[in-house]
Amino acid sequence: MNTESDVPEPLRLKKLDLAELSDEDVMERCAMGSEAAFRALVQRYRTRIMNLVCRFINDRDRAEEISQEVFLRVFRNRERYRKSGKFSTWIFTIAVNLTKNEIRSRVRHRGTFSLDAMDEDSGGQGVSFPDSKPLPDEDLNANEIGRKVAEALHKIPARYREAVVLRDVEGLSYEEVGQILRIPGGTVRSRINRARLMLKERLKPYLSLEDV
Amino acid sequence: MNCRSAEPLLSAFLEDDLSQKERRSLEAHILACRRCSLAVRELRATLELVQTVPYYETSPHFEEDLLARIRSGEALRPTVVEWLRGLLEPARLRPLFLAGAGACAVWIGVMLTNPNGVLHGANLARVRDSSPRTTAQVSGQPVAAGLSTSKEPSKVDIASLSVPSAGSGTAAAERQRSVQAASRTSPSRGSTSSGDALDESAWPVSPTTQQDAAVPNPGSRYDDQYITDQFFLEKDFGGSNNNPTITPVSDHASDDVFITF
Repeated sequence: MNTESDVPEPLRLKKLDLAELSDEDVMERCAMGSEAAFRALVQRYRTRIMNLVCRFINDRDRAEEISQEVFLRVFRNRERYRKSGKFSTWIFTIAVNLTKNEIRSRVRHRGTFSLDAMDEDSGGQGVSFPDSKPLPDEDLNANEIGRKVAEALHKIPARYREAVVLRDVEGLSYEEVGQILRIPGGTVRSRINRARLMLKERLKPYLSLEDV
Repeated sequence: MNCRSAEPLLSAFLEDDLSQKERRSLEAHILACRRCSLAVRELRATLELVQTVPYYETSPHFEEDLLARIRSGEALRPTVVEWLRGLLEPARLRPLFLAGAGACAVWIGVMLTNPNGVLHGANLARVRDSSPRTTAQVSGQPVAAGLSTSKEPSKVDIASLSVPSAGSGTAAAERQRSVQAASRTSPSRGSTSSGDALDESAWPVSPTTQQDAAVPNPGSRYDDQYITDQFFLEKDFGGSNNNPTITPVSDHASDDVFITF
């Protein structure tokens, strides 16, 4: 990895300036070998990637390993990144693919052959991999209700969960969700609607309709 | 609109992602339907609740671990899929490659469909018929390589047919013994460690086939019997000229001879 002095002069910026650049511009500098740019991307996305993976597999230690792998792949493939696409879509696609691989691997170890089959096995209750270790209190920014929401998310089928997490938790657009999951826009909308209705049923006891 | 058709539109309604016509129709249904009205309120509350999902922090040494893995290089080896993708990507994107591949596909298609094409069934059959046969397949016609099918007297270069020299049985045994003795004393081909000039007779002979090892008369002269046995009678060649004679290529005692029919 190069230091800042190795980066071409026009692109050599002070550290402070990196914060003002878009993800795509920072990634461009990363592709030229700037370690500072790569660090900036890690700092911007590590929590989002970690949480995205956590929402899917509910295993913090493994989620951190997968998150590291995501950034390693970003670094390995930095020269393949095209600035025309959004960096967030690219990195989320890598994260989702790695997470799907992890889920497939777990499914294989359980002797089941597909996620859909697991969904069916669980009677449509979804596939969840409960974390055996309790979460540290400082990580729980929300209260008990937040924990219930996390549980509810883990209990809906994977294909609905990934769509609603990307949309409602990560705040991506329908188009971005479609690109990441490689499904058409109509399917994205349908899955998100179904996922929300499933969550509504599971979270009904915790809904405060007075405030709405 | 009924409850069944309203349900798939509820999310889009909350996000204002409906057409004007759909929105008006759904609003009218919600005002009239207590169940769907409640569903909309619940769904809105659910969306707010989902935002309260706890956020996890990465470990404090996440970044340092990551950079250490990059610097060590152990984590930078591409996966098999990445390696394959890297291998195929330049070719996939290269227009010249695509043009060449397309041209090849067109050519193969034309050859397969065109009756005059070289790959057409009739031509393939012709190619099969004209393909060189092994001597075991030949019956009656001397069509093997190096032999003419014409009725005129032809000559065969014996050397090109890898025919070992022939001679009497005892002479062969003598020569075999001398060759074996020479090979024992001079194990490496062309070795001049003893200071002698290269002596062809002293080179170890490596009989390539059982037939070579069983040469009846491996002397410098050939006899008709051996030639006839090896190349014609044994292959059951027919015709009137089935008893060829041999003619030396030169007056010298050379292994190069012709068969004269």
